[in-house]
Amino acid sequence: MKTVLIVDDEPPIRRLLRLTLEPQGYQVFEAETGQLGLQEVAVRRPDVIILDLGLPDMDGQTVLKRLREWNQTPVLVLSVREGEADKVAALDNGADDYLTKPFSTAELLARLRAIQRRAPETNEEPVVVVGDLTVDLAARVVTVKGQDVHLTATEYALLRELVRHAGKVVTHKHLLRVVWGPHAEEQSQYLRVYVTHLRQKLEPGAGRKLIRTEPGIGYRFCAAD
Amino acid sequence: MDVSLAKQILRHCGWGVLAVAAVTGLALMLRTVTGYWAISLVYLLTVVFLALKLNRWAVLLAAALSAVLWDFLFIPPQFTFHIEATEDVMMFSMYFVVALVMGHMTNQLRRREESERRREQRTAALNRLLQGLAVSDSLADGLARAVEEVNALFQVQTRILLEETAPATSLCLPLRTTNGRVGWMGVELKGNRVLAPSECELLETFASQIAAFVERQQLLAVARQTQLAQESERLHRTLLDSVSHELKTPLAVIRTATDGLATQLADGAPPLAGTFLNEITAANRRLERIVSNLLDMTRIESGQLPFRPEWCDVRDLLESAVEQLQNEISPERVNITVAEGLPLVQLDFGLMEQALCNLLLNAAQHSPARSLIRLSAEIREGQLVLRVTDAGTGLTPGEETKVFDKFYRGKGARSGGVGLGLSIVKGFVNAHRGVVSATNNPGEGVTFTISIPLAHENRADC
Repeated sequence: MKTVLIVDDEPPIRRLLRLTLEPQGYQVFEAETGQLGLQEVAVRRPDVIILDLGLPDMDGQTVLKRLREWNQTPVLVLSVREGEADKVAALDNGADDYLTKPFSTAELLARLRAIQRRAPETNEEPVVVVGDLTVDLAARVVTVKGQDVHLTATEYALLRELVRHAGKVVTHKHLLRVVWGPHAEEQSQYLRVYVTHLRQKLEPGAGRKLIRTEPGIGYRFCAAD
Repeated sequence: MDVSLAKQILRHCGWGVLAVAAVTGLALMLRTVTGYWAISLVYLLTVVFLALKLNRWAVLLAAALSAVLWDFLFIPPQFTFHIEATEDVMMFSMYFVVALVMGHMTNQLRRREESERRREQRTAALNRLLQGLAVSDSLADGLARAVEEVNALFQVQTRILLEETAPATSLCLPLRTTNGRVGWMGVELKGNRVLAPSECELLETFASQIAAFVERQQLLAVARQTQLAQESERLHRTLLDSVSHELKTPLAVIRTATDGLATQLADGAPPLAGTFLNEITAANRRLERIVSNLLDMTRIESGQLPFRPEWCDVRDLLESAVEQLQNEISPERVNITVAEGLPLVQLDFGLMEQALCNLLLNAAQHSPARSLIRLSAEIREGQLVLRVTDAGTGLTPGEETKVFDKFYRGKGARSGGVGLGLSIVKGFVNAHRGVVSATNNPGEGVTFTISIPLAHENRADC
């Protein structure tokens, strides 16, 4: 049975998350402060953590930083819509994804599933299939509806990075660093141009179902659930 | 040499002559008792006393006059300038020299003492000024003290102006600091008085001290203001954040609860349960929208709008907005046209997406169900132009600008909405230094146009 730790100071949110997650086969633990949350992680060793950024005793970001000093459990951050900067900071501090309040249950479950999936290395799970799209990470071949799609080296590197984190948000900074190198972290216009090209090549016509824009934060490759 | 000095010399000379005459009268009476040699000592004493009070010229005059009188009236043969005895000649010449030297030296001593006293006075005045400025708790207070001090010390009328233009006074000293001039000190001298070089120097020292004080006070004021602004901004943000949190948490709870209920209801539920649930869900969505509109409006009004421009693909922006609303407006109703070769544009993606969503919702609300809504983007004259066109009834004339007012609701508006959507659009577009306008179409419906200037650096090389 999977275990999840909910760190949130609002009892109704904790109660409802418990009601939502238990039928999905999760064993739920709760903590109402950051301090208790960190203790619970040490004691319960949960498989995944849901962390609210607004905690009474300490900032959610601090909780994340302290946690990441010794523990790599996937963390899903809960935040409000206006907190783009907070979300980016949380992702930089080691959160795996975020969810904006108010959120739907389906979204929550999808995010939890995605962050528990480890990023596949090229040798394991080498072929990713989403709808009409097939990405063979080992052979570096991309096909749409069985047709080969020609991608430039940069486009392929970008797609590979998104696919490796399928379902999870990937920040602009991360993509720029991995694909273009550390000096390019601020050059977000590269990213826009190549994402546009990729979308045109992968989903000609209507396309932005596969690569979704997360405003102010990054992109998310949508694996079929 | 000016007139007052000449007058003073004449007056002193007069006093000198008078004193010598008086002593001569006394000496004439004493002569028979003391003999004529002792008289020279009486004269010498007189000259020394005069040197303590009178100026150099008067002392010189008194020394010469007393020598002549002594010779004429006392040295035998009397009442002639002729001197017979050799020792009398020696006595006379020595008297003359000693009187001159004594007179001069005494005078010198007195002047030195005077200048010492003046210097001390100035140092004390400067100290008083510095102390006064140090304990002043406001700019006005300090300047008043400084003016008082300068007026008392120099016997002048002083004004201090913290302005660019110099005052029209007989003497004007700039108040200079390392960062440039902070103002002027205007000094009005009485009559045609001229300040001595040492006084000018002191006045300049005063001016530089006053300038330093003004600068310090101004920096302090700026620091205080900044602190105050930061404080109020922090308070505002904290308040907004906590209100936002308080309002959104229950909404999130309702959303999660209805979602959970929906999955539970799937099999074999009472017939009306699903309908009621849908009502709750719809009402909750509406409430979420109103709360977020109110919070957005508050942020715009209080200047707390987080504006973070980034390079955006405009097509992505339009499609993203349409997708956001897929529950409210079926995506097939929206026709997106993006001009060929549109460059990347620097926008706050989140804010613009929200602005477009509000325009689309407005269009959907004011046009027949399933009618087409057109959404287009192009670059025209250095501006990114976004248009939302509906097929509704259009605006009544005169409503074109009013629709963007807060809480304004169109005449033909259906129920629902508090009239914030379009004013939020305006606020978000203004944050991009852009404008939004509404015009009736020739045929039917309204076109809302957002124009955002592309700054020079807003063009990406692709």
